[in-house]
Amino acid sequence: MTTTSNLFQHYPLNAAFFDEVFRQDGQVYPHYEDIHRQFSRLTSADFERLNEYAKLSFLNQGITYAVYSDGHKGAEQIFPFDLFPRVIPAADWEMLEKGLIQRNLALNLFIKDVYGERKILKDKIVPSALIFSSPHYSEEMKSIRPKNDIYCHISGTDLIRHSDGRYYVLEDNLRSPSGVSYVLSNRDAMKRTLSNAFRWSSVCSVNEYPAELLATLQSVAPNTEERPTCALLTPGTYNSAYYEHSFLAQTMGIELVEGRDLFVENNYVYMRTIHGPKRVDVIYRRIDDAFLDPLVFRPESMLGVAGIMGAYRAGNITIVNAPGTGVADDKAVCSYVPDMIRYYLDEEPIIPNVPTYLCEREDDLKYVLEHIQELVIKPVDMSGGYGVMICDRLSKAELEEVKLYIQADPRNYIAQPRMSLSVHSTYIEKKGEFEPRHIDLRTFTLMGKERPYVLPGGLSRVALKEGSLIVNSSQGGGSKDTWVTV
Amino acid sequence: MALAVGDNPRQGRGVHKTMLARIANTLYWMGRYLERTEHLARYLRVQYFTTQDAPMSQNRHFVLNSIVNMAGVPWEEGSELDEAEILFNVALDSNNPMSILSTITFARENARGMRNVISTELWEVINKYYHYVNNYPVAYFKTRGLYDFTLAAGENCSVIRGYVDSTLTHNDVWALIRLGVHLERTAQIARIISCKLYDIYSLTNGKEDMPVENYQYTVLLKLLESFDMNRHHYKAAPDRQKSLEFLILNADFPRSLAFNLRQIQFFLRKLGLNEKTPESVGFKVGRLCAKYQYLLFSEIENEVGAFVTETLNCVYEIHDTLEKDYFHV
Repeated sequence: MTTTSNLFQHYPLNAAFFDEVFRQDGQVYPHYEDIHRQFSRLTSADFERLNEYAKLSFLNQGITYAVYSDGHKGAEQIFPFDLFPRVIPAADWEMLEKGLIQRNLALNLFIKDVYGERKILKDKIVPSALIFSSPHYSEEMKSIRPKNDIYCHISGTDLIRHSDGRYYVLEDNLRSPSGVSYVLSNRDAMKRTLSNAFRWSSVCSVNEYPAELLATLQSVAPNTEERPTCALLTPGTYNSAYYEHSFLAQTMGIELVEGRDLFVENNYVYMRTIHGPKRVDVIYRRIDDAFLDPLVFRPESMLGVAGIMGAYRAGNITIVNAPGTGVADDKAVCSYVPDMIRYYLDEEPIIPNVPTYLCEREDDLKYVLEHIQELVIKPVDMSGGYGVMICDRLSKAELEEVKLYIQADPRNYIAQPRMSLSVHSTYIEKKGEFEPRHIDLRTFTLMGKERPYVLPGGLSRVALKEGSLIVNSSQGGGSKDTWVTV
Repeated sequence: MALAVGDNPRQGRGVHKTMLARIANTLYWMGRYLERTEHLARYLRVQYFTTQDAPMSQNRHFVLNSIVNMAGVPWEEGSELDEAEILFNVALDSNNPMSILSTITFARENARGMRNVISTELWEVINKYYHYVNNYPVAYFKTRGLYDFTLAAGENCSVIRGYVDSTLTHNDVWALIRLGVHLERTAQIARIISCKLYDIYSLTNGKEDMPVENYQYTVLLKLLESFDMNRHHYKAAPDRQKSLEFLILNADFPRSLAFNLRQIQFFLRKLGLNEKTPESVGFKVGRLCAKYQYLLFSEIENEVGAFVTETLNCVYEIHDTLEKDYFHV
């Protein structure tokens, strides 16, 4: 099959990047043949109609964000969704799933160690200074042992595919990784729009996620005779991830609470209900550590619950994820994860890291300053693609400025070679045809008492701007449904 | 209500399903807002179109005045009434917090704040209704869209109520929405009756004028979509007694005060909020229902306006008690 059909007729192939769909000779990879054949039969007008239908599906589901730029009338926008699904062959996924479980097991052991015996620090595998200088290190957690020794119940690992076709870990998100609701909504939109596509391919279901998440929450509840009560703590409707909070609470069938709905008495946490107080056993919180408890952390926090850390310390409530997990998702700490895997599990890492230079190491800093033009510089504790500097796009003067920033605060920066994120055929509305765009993959791993669970696939994020490597929705990114074949 | 739990950690493990006070308030208000948009839309349509072929002095100015009164449009007394502006203000003006657009926006915001306790299907019809109103072309509305828009608004409300009844478990969530619906409906019926009584007074200057009065009582019935059922019930053309008695005391007609007060009582009981102390909301509602149950129209015939106003004040008091005792704990 060649790329001569209507929607693909101008599709460019570029050897610098790994194209997920097309080989360099224009042939389609076998796992894309069915879906490509279907798209090839469509005219631009057909596809445009499907595209509009998918958008309407998101609008009606209310998966929108308000734009206030045009005055007070909140025109609502949907998050861009691309109808061409990303397909991951079963064999690839089997390897990724193993690798993700391995990585997150090691990270959990690392967090436990950091707040416990600190063996890995004493053995000088990971430098102590890196840990204690992290803004996410929580002194509070030294005296607390979470139920079943699980700190990081939900983690989001970002993967990319380099021009060599291999998968690499770009970063870990161990605090409140978001995006999973889009995985489920994207699948729903695909089914509503292109139901035929599923007839041709066997695709792993993603619908089990809410049930798996609830089972994970229940499995780490403090000892109670009754079925544990779980609740999801949100900052409120104005939070940008509010849709996801309500989606997860709804699909799990648990209460969606705000800080003001909860209170603590005698070290137990209660919800305010119209029938009086009701006890809570597990809190899946989607607010940052700093806002969790005004008695312990930021005193001005209106989002949290006064006294909740006391209840946690007393073992009367489980907080998911545990406070202080951020110490392990710092981008500088990330580079030590392969060492952690070897140290705690005595295994070789299954998914490699993107090579990372830590500017606080003298040798690395020297290398970074000398090779800055080939590198991407990232602040260690920012997310959402903010603060990322892609140096081959900067002027001489700008580069000098970046060097000054780094030298002023080396601990705050890491550098990575410019990884060529793979590209994927993506429908470009303005042109009415498919073009390659860079993508990555956010995966979701759950660690309960019984067994780990990895959501098949995950969220494929796509940089819609031509040539852009920034996939975050806050900066012009969209997403795709992700299919793991059976 | 005190929230003391004492020393017993097992407290708060009761049989009631959890209903957060904040969510209860949101559900209740969603019911109220949805019901309000329907009455606003219907009043606008019926009042505007039924009086287009009205006899005599029942002119445009009168119609617009009536709409201004009912919808609570901030309009300076005595200033020129601009038809297009008033219709826009009541329906689509986001700066008027009482407009249909503002009201459905509130209803949808409320629904958004508790999507996790309602069905996806219910959320989607509320969301669709919001987008329908929010995207309605203003220029078209001002020239030819009034009928189409207000009719569709009413239809959307009926669809939403259908989803409330048929896709929700009939538990606390459902009962709170319905409580809001019936409390708002009681208030709106009372306000519509009051407005119409005022209309009639201003048209007749307090003097007897049967044709004008009877015509306006017909309009009143149509404003509450009760004209046909009224005819069925009385087998005679409506007049003052037949229309007011029907809308105030008929316990079987879903847009009468008596019917809706009974519904309020039913849903409070369903929620288990019917305590018997004189200050409790259950007591207040029960007392009002009891009064309605054994009331003859002849007993209030000469003071209908005052009676309806008194009921409206009771309803406001019931609302205040609900907020104080259950929603803002």
